[in-house]
Amino acid sequence: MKVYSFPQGGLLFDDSTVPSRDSSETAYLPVLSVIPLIQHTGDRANPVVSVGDFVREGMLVGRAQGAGSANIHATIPGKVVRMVSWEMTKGQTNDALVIRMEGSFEKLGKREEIFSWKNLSPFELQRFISESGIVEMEGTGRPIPDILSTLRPVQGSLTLVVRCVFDDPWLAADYVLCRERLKAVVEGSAIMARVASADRIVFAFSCKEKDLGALFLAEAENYKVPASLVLTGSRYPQRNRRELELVLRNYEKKESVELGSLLVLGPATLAATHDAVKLKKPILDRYVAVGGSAVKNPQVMRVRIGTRIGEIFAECGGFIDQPERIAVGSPLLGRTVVDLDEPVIKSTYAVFAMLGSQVNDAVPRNCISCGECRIVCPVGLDPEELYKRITVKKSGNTDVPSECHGCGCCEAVCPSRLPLSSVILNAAVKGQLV
Amino acid sequence: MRVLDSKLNLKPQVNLSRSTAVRMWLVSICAGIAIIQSALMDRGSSLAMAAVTVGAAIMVELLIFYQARQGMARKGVSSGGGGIADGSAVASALILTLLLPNSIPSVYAGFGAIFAMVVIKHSFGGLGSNWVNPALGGWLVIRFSWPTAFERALEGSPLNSGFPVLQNSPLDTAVSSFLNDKIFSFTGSGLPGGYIDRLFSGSPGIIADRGLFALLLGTIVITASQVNRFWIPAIFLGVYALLIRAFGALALGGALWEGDILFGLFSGGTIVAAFLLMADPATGLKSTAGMFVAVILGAVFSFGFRYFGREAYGAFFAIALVNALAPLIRSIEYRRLYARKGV
Repeated sequence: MKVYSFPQGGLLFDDSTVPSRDSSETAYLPVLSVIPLIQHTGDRANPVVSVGDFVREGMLVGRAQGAGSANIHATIPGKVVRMVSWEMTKGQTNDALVIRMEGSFEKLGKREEIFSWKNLSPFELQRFISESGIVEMEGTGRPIPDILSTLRPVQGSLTLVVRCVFDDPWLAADYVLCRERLKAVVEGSAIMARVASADRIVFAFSCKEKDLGALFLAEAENYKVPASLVLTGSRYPQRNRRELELVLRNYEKKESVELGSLLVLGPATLAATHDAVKLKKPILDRYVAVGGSAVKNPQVMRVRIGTRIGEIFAECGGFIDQPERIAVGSPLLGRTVVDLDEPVIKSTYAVFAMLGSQVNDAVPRNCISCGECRIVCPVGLDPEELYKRITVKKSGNTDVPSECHGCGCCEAVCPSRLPLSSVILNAAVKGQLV
Repeated sequence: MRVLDSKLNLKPQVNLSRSTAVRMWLVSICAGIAIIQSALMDRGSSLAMAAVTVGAAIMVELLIFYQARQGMARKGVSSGGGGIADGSAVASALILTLLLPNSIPSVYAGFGAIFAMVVIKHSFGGLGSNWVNPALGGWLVIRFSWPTAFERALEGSPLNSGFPVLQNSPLDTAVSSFLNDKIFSFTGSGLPGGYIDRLFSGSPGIIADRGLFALLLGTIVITASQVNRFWIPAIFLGVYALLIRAFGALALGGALWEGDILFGLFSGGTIVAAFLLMADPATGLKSTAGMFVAVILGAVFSFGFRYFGREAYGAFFAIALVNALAPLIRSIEYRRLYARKGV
């Protein structure tokens, strides 16, 4: 079977500190759950409970407010003991409800009630998805209804792309999810195809996981939507939307298959869609890869949303030594965590703590024009020149290309430790989009 | 625009490459062991010359950084990364030492190091901003400022005769016989005598040629450590060897396809030119295609200068010429490959 890869740049990333992809462990339930009201791209959800109220497991605690916002639910039963606030980027404040576990669980440990969805209309299915607060379970957490609304004006055919491209070992949580909840992901894909009126489903798998892809394809035969398997390369950032679309357009041309517009979603989002529609269950937990060189026992865990990151590390045996850096996401593209009380949210797919040797930091020095940034740039930009224009010549605002999608490859390989992608992306946003 | 704003929070949390400083120190080790090998056969004068060049380069760097810091402090700006800890001054000084004959007066070497640091490196903006390799710039200044001293230091060098008669030492005979019996006999070929001695040459010449065995070991280390791109020296040496084989003897009055490849590669500073000068990133080109062109040009010029121009160290002039052409080729690269993307 042909393997499709994006034409230039990228890098092969391997990391021995990622957890094993063999199985997952269920994390302990948090005694205190911190439920942020912003777990999505838009404005914060409007809290519908107050301090002192009792909440049930899966109960709505924050209602979406406008585009980009999504409903928020309690993930444990208990009492709202306080509301905390902290400042995010650009001075925006995020609030969170702190829930102390009390009372009994309504879903956990109970037999799951299964609802049939096959006779429901796309509109009704979307209502379930919207009520359950389903967002993209990675990146910025864009709400699914918002994504679907952008597809409405699209004429012609539409393909749902199930993004099972593991170009980064830190996507271990998604991989384990695909193995352990294969049926749910495939059924979630069928539901999403119905909601979006997609003509076909494409399972995009890294070539290394082609056997898993074949299982997905076999399972998809139970549904009436035409499905196919596309094998991709494993170079980072193959999973990125632009690089994935390049590959799929190439597939479309080679195989003479009309894909039309693409709706690209990850397996975690589709499993959540399945739960929302078939089990009437909002997002209560998610798979999270916990690891890094500072962590004693790295593992993939099934963690309740709202569990504090510090508790997860403690459950993995704590730290070997003082970590140099703690972050969420992937080491290739993550966000530094400054407080271990920060909770796991819907889009947290990995948390890691690294020793200094893994961070491999050094004093930033002059660019030596080694050209490694140019070699790895998947867009074919010249990050060195762009960086120099922005920082030295101060003329970046007008001519910084919007093609940079911030994959971070250039910065990850810079021997001079220059913040290339951060500076370029920042300039692109300031110069063109603000 | 929240989507894009939140993307700004995301950045690489690790760096996957060796730092500039580590690269510079690896290059310094590569050059340093070749100097030590040469010093074993000249009672330490190669080492003394290295001490002078390194000392001069460090002194100049310290003075320049002291002045820069003072200036920045006056403007209330904090000074960024820099200083001798990045290893670039030491690396440049040691490469310069490799390019010089071991018997040239050390004062010239010291002057070359000062020129390399002040004029070539820092007057263009410091590390990474130079248009020619600093060591090569220093070498050119010494070569043209004191040509007599340079020639005198190379008297008796096998490079001064077109077809050198290679003397075989017992070690050479033993190793050549071993290789011929155990390895080359399978291919029906044989290694003539005299080439193993080139690896341990004690005859007059530049230090890079005198410490060739250690230099080759060093280049293996820096190539394996991905300090340079392996294909750059590989293509340079390949093209150079092909030209030597085809036309090398012809240029010296012999026949076509009778050129002596091994002698060409093992002398005239070819190895240091291929691995340290041609592969220097700061003076290289932007794209793989551009670098490919530059490497081929470097090899062709090296052959032309050495065999038809009768300049024993033609490879150094060739690389200086390619460095001079680099801005022109870079501008073509801009227009062809990057300009449409906002640069």
